[in-house]
Amino acid sequence: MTDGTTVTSTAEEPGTEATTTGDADARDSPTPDDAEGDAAEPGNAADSAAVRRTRRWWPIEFALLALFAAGLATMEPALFALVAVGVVFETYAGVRGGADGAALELDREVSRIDPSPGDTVEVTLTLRNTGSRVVADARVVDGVPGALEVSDGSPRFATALRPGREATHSYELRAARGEHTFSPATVAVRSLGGAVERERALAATTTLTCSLPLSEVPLRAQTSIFSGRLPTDVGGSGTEFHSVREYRSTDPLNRIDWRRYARTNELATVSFREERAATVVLLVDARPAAYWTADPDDRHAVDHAVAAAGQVYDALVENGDRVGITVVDAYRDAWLAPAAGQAALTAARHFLAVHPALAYDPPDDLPELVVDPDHDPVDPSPLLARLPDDAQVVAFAPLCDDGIVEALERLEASGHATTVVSPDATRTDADGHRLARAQRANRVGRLRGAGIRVVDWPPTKSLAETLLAEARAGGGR
Amino acid sequence: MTANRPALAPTRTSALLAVLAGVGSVVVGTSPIGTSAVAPLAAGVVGVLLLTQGLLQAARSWLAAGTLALVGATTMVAFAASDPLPSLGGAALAFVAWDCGEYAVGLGEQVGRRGATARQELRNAGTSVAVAAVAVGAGWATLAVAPGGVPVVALAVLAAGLVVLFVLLWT
Repeated sequence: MTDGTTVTSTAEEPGTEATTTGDADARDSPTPDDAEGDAAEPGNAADSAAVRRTRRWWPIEFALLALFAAGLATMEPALFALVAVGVVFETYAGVRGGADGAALELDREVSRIDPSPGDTVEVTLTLRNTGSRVVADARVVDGVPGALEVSDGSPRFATALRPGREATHSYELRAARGEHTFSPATVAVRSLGGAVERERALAATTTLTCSLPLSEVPLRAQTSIFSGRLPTDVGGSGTEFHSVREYRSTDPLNRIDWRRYARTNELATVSFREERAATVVLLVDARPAAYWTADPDDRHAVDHAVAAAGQVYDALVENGDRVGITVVDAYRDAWLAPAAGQAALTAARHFLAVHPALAYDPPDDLPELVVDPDHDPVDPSPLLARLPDDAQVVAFAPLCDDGIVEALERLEASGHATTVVSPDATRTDADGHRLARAQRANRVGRLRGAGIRVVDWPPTKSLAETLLAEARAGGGR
Repeated sequence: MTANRPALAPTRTSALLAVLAGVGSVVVGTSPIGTSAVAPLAAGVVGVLLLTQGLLQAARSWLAAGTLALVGATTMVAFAASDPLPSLGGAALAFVAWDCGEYAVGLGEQVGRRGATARQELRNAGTSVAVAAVAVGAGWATLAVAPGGVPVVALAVLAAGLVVLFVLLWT
């Protein structure tokens, strides 16, 4: 920070992964008008529109006039001595120096631009006086992105700077999923006596991209629940026995039937039923109705659904499947075509982090928890038109209304094997939630009745844990 | 900025210094007459209470009322006392109380209690006290120049100085 060079924020690149080093720094160049007005006289700088008189000395002025009037009336020397005291204070108040903040530069450095949700990001502000005048009183308010919470310290500070000096201040933010952009910081500079204040915006925007973390608990062991690779009638590699045939020189060693070799001294190759990678489309319910939360301070169901989708995506791609993502009622705008491999993982993580259809901030008009049964029908036709014929669907939905249930039944009926992962955002201990809970239980029952697998997931547990518990309980249907 | 709005309460350091200056103003300002005269002492105590109220409520009007009560108290003493020097100190400390108090309220509004402000507050208070010292010196000099009464010339100079200051400040 002390080398004087400033680098523009490099946060624009998409798909920033959670790197292991993770100390990529973002520095910001000050706004270009900084260099302007350095030589300008205080009081007539270019940005004089932002100059304000604080009028903070008015009681002293009032006292001064009153004392002077009383002195004239009485001709008492002590009163004139008091007037002289007031005049010295007024002279101090009249000093206009120190309010020239034109030569101030502000750098904003963040400890990382690609945090994972819940990570602490340290923001360091450096205010530098590059001019030749003293800055008597600078008050800095950083433009913290609205969705981020300040976890330690304050984004505001006050300081004075002699020419060439700099002051640093840091505070901490807790990252939340999504793309968050800092607004320019506001700097108010006051003259020595505080009579004049000049306000300006400093430091360009910085963007934090907070993507989902790599799943802490791999779901690999349970992937069969979601996709089930498709068996074929062709012999090859796989798990299910298909046939044994004569050895050919290109066959891999691990498929040679060594027992037969030991018995008969002839090489033979075991073939298994070959499996084909499945195509899976993850469907996230992020309609306003899905922004359910058990507690206003908790994460809402959409965020849990997105996190679960991220984990399942990772697991399926690891498994070799082709996986796509889409969002209920936004099939055109929010469509990540099924793909496989590392590039797909990166794209998916970015999609889940920043796509506006999955915004972390809930919409303003949140509907009631207990909804009218006919409310908000969901039309799956556009999705059916886009889905590849053999695609399976894994839906992530809190099951907060009947519309989504009907849509899922139609998907299953159209031949797309459907699984539902449902983060449970209802509570057991609140009266208002009782009916919502009962309605949700009915919906789960109805889906299971239609042959759809439902993973009922309380977000207090990890998804992997829930799946493991279900597998032990015998399938969970 | 909406998500992280700070408390609007005045910053602590300056608020404390303002009350201290207020108390100092009463103690120094009324010292020539001691507790014999009730009116200046009462005005001073009311001034400190108003000052405290202003800082608790973050209200400049209460602060101003407190400051003026303090100035009033010292003025009363200046009339009565044979040695006006302590009342000059009392008035100067009343002005310091206003400076620190208003600074606390303003900084509370702009930066808040959670912000890092203590050093800057001390810096402001230090300057204010230095100005007070110069001010008392100037008052004392005025008395020394005119021991028997106020010459018309000195009055005219003072009046002209006042006019110039107000023109500077309010235009």
